[in-house]
Amino acid sequence: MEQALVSGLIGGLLIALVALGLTLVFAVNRFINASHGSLITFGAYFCLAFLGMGFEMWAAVVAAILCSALLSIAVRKIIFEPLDGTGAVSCLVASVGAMILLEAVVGLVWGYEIRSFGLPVRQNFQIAGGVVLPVYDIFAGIAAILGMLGVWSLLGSTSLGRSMRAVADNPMLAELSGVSRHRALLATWGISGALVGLGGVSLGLHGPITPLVGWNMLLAAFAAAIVGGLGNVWGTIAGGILLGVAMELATLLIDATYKPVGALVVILIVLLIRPQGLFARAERI
Amino acid sequence: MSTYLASLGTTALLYCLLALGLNLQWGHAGLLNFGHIAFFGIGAYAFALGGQFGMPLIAALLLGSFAAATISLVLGFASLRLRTDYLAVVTLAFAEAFRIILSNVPWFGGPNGITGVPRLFGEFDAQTFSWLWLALLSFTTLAIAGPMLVLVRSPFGRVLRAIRDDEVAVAGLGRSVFRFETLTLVIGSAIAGLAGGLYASWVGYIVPSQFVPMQTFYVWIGIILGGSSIGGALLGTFAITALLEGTRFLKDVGVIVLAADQVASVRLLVVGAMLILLVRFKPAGLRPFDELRSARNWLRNQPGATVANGATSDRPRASVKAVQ
Repeated sequence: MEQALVSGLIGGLLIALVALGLTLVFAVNRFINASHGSLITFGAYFCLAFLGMGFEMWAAVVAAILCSALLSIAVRKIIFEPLDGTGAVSCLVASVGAMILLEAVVGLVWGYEIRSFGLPVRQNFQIAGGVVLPVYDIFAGIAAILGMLGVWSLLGSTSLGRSMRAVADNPMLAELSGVSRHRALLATWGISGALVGLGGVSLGLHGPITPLVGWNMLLAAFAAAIVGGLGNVWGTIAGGILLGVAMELATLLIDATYKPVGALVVILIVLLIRPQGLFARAERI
Repeated sequence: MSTYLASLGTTALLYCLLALGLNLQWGHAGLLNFGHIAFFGIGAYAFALGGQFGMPLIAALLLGSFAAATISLVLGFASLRLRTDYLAVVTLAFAEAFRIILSNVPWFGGPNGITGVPRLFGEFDAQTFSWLWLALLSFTTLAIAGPMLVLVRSPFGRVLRAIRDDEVAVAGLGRSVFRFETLTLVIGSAIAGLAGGLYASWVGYIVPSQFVPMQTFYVWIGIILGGSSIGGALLGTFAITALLEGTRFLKDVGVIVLAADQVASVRLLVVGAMLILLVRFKPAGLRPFDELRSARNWLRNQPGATVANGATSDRPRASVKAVQ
């Protein structure tokens, strides 16, 4: 039970990290980005590539995060900027195309075999109560927390964060007030890409890497963002942690292979009862 | 070779059946259903299980269609009141949940699926078998497209298009948007279920990995390509499927130098790129029939034309708004 709680917490932090990127893009760009998952995959594979080039682990991680951010900005500029103003549905369908395309690129460049970072096996930490915590999970958890704190301080304290919040709240008014929507959007996509790159690296620390890692995480991220309220930063983080813990606890009752189904059931239930999310203001979806 | 072509045609027609349902849901009612393939799968599994219990083939096919329709009713009740993009997420989630459950529950055969599905025309040799199936599917597609055409031009179809364009107005005029949308979902899913049963019978075995969301997106491209008319959707889906499935064997013919799974990746690349380009440049589809109509009008309206010789003043009317 305690093991499930702790593992669930780590898993939940990862989900929250990835879902945060999704929810930021939704808040500022007003559509659900289905290609978010493939950026996670790229994060993991970028790190793999840099490790392969001989970078030290920490350098590979930083480089992977930077590349993910750049890729995300490129996706925004090439695919979604021309679609500004066409509506959430067009962008969603285009993002599905982007997802398929990006995952195909991963498959073409890196192949479909299972890969791993090849890190040395380390002792697991033993905490009170017989709970086992793999070392890399601790790294992943800390990374997730740092990432989220970074975003929080950015949104709250910097002028860039303010402009992002302004565009999320009311794009036209923001533009009238002199906020550059263009810059805010580029920044949002870049930050989202960085978060997701970190998420991908953490996934790589957590387990094996295949071109499908992003997709598997995407549905959990959707669920977390929907539970917390799409566009609601703290709600999404809380949603992610809750979801991670709930999914792990569920494995005590049902077979572990059904874990993803848990996320999907959560989506269905939340959308049925409170579609705007647990933490959002009541509004019609 | 002719067996191969007949098989290709049969596959394309199966996708066309899926397109008929999806076209009704999206092109006419504006429902973004990313989980359509799940109902194809439900139909296939229901047929296979029915066959295992010794049901006559026709009854098993109907069972497949009925099972798909019933489950879509449940999904519809849970999700149709949501706005378009949330509906897409929910239907996608549903399709994935369905596939995961199928892959793991032993009753459905687990990851290895069900083998030994009874095959209609199974007693014939390979060539006759493939041509018989092509004939059956052609007949089925026409038999469903016909009534669909009538349905779409009926008051029901008009209400659907009104819902697509402005739900609030329809509700204000006293029609239950939810009921019409649910009916559309059920009709589309019933057709998909029938197609699933036919597919199971044709191939003889079913595996959960055949029912992935990617299949739905193939059909999507077909529909977007062809525009929202029924003929357009059928043409578009047929063309895209023939293209995608036909290129599976390019390696055997020695044209391509890539490895097999790289060819699969390239195919996915093309699919993704097409979706993006279509949404960007041709959201209402290539609309082949509209192009013909405008060409005809252009010819009629040349200098020197008078109403007496057939000049017209109408321009081709958009039958579907650009994707909103």
